[in-house]
Amino acid sequence: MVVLSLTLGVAIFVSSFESVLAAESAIARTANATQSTAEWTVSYGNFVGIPEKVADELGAIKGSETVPILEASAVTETQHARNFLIYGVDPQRASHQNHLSQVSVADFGAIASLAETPDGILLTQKFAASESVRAGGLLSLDTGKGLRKFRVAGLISDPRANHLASGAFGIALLSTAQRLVGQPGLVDRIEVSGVSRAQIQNICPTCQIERPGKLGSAAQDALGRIHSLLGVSVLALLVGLLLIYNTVQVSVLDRMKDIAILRAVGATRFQILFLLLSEWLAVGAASSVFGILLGSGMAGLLVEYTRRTVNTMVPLMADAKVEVTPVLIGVSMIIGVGTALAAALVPVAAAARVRPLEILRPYAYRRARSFVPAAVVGFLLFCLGNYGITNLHASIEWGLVMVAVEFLSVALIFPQIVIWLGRILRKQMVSRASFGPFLALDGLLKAPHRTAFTIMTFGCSLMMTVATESLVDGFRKSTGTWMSVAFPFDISVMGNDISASVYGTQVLPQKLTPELAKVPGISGAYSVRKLFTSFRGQDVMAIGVDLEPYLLARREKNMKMWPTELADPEALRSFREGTGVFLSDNFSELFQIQPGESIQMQTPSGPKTFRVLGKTDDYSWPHGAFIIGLKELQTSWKDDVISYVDLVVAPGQSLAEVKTRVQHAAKKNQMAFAFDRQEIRDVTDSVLEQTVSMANIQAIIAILIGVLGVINAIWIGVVNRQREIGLWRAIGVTRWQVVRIVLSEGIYIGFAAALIGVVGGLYGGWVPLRSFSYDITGYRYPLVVPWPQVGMVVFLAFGLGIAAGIFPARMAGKTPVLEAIACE
Amino acid sequence: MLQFTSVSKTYGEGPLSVKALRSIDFSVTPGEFIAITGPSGCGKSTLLHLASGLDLPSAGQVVIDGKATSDRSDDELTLMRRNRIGLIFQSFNLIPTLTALENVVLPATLSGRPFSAIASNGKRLLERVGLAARFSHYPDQLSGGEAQRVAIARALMMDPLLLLADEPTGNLDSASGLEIIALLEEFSEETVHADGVKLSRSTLIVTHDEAIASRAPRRVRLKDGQIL
Ligand SMILES: Nc1ncnc2c1ncn2[C@@H]1O[C@H](COP(=O)(O)OP(=O)(O)OP(=O)(O)O)[C@@H](O)[C@H]1O
Ligand SMILES: [Mg+2]
Repeated sequence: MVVLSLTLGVAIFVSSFESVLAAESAIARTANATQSTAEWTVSYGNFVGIPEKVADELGAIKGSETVPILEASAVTETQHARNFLIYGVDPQRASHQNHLSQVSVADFGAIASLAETPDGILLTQKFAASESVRAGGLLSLDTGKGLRKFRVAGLISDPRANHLASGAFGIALLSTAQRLVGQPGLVDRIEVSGVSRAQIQNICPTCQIERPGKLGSAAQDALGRIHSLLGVSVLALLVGLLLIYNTVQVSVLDRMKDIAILRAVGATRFQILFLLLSEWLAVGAASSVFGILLGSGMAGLLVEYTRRTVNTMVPLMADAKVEVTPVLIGVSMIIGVGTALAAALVPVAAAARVRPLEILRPYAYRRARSFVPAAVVGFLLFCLGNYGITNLHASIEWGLVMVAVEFLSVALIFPQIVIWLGRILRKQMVSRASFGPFLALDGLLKAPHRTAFTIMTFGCSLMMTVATESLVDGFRKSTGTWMSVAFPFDISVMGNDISASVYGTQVLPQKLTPELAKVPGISGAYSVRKLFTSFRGQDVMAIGVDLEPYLLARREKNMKMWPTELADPEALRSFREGTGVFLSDNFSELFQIQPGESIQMQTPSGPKTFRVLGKTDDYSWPHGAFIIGLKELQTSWKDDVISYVDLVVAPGQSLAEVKTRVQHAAKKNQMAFAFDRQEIRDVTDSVLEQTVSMANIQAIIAILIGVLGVINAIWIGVVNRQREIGLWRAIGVTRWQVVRIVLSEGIYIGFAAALIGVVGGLYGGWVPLRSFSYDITGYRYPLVVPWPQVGMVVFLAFGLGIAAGIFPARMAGKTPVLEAIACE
Repeated sequence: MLQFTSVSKTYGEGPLSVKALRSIDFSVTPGEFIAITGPSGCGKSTLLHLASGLDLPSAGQVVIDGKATSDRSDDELTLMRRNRIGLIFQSFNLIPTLTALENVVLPATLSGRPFSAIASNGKRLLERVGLAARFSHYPDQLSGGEAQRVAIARALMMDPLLLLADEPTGNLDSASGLEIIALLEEFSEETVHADGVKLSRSTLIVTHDEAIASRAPRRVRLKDGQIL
């Protein structure tokens, strides 16, 4: 039991930290592996090929390295039509700067050997397995120029490739790709290193020259999500420590009698300390080893789960492996053994301080110490933490520190609250002569700090669910309102499958909008372009809206103006002319820009200043978005593609039928996916769901530990009161009454934990989480009380509280009366 | 009232077993005040434990109130202790976190009686043992003699037929010891209302104090688990 508890205590924080670290490094690794290390990406823009010979010219510059890349999308001719990316690379050029391109996941030898297979293509293992094609077989792809057959030359051995574009891509020789895709002499981009922007411009004045983004925004997003789980790890550490500490204390207290006798027969204090230390060193070390093993196992499962959830949003995480580093082992061992030793020493030291006579006194009832000074300090800390969280919009690390401060402060305040509550309850109970409940309460009040910590751990673990759910519900509510207010469309057509990856960047040609507008049953169509642009060093989202058809669509849907300021003719004119923009609320919050002010943007056609016409809730992008006229966006950002075509279905038409027609019309030429409103809602909801479930998995583990802590605390109480329980039984307390008394300790803990879980959870969801989310995204959410979770937490608190009491209660019920009273 | 019929008690098994009581026949009639004496280890406490149903005989029968303890369930035995028997030990008789008064009324509350109904009774008992000024003191604020008097008050709370005391004066000086015994004697003369019948209370005291034992009308001497 002791070893099991200790093992779990160590396992809980080991698994938590390991899984977070593993997930983090995996994301970083994948992101790096699939990241071009080139200095520049040179292209003519989307859908326009750039002559391959530009690469030759650039390559002629001394010290330069160039890799021309053809990138074409295709659809597989398999049972389920899948999106597929074809990369065309030139092994001659790739030979010495293989590392430049993303395609470097395939080793050079394999690319070079493509020359031996006509129409050869290299596939990822994942894709080959899922489509059951093997080397030598044929792969039919609709490249937009009709059906083309590639021969599978081999598989890419690097497993990271499986995570680039979900593994749905292939590498072919540049010449092969150019021929089969129908782009002779053209590539899509050239990755360049070792030259300056000016040199490139010199050779190719019309070229778009971009810095390849480092870690993509999507990766950042995933990393942030993983980072937020570190908070849970800290909690896990605290809970683990508490568990170890309590367990060891119980068993040492249990053996206090032996120790006292040893002392009595003449063992010196040193000898006893030595005995105890070596014993707990051994137990602590053994349990830590088990704990690390178990923790790593648990981490493996957690990582697998996290990988799945994160991957549905971003196909980023490579096969994350839990690496048990020596540092982690060392730290865990030190924490495990150290806590065990400390926990063993405290009661022994306390016993050593008490004079033998005092131990022999029958009624060593020391009424609870006062924790008032600690509570005062705690209260001040709480205020500080609260102020810090709500007012200092610093880094996440600071936020975590502040949350830790809050936790500490509550830990300081709580024992005193337990005492006060206990006093009030005692009066109530005694005046009603309900000594059963009183005796239960009494057991808890004998060690207010232990009770307080136990309640806190249990309560905080319950709190986590309420807090996340409250935040997520707030988010759901506000996005829901936004979606219904902002968008007049019934069907949205986009270049990527949002059910596979939310933040896709695939684009559509402009001409698609008029084509789709002609589909029978469609009464309105407008284009939207979303692109990322840099603003004060951050990636913000520019949302270009084709104003006139958008306004028509709104009118057709009888929707009020959105953004509301467009109702003002002055604003409307400014927006139409492209001199004014709207900011998303979070943009305004993050960059502290208010309506009426101006913003300056660095655009590909030079710096541009826009007047801020207003701000509006918009949840498109956590780092801020602004809405601009599509024409202005296209001119300033030299862009000629679109991200969505939003369609309005004519009244009386069947949405499903129209949608099918739209899908066919859109698929004819290029990759396009049509979704109706409900589907989009479902996708965003499921992303939220996944985030919640990720947090919930951690919460479940925390709750488990919390319950172990409760069992532990009640158990200590029973062990410490053996003699008293014997006395109860002797003067006529029945076995069942004893069981009930101990069980009600669980109920009290459950009650307090439920209180913390609900109140703390709402507070946590309202203040720190909301404020974190505000600091990071600038989104403000309404406070939503997640009633189902609140109900669940109350139910769990009481249910688990009682369940936690069962084992100690059975033990207490079986107390051998005579032995218990005999022990002096 | 209480009847031991060839009662033996053996602790443990095999060569290490201890025969604490060897075929004891012994009975207590209502109203008796009995002192049990004997050298240490002769089985005095064992006898009392069997009499209270805290332990069961290895052989023979202990009959209380017309029924053998071995035929009663644990709950029956517990209720019997609560309602019929007052128990006093040498030490640690009180719940440390309850006041003197709360300790006294505890057995009554276990049966769910309201505090208002029993508080006055508890106070009266405390007054009778001379602790009128100690109602709300905690055990650690009482002297050994006072604590023992609280224990007596509690033992009497349920108006027991049988009062069992195992060396109640063992931890006290002789003066307070005598006070305790005087109290026990006083209470032993009461009649008890049980099921509408008036019965006299019986008292059994284990002691190794000759001065105390000699005051008892009846005296039982034990040696090596047998009655002399
Ligand atoms: N739980 C037990 N297990 C084994 N032996 C026991 C147990 N309890 C008592 N004994 C033994 O039974 C015998 C009688 O014990 P008991 O406690 O009745 O003696 P006693 O007359 O009360 O002695 P004292 O005056 O010292 O209290 C002793 O030899 C004791 O060692
Ligand atoms: Mg004895």
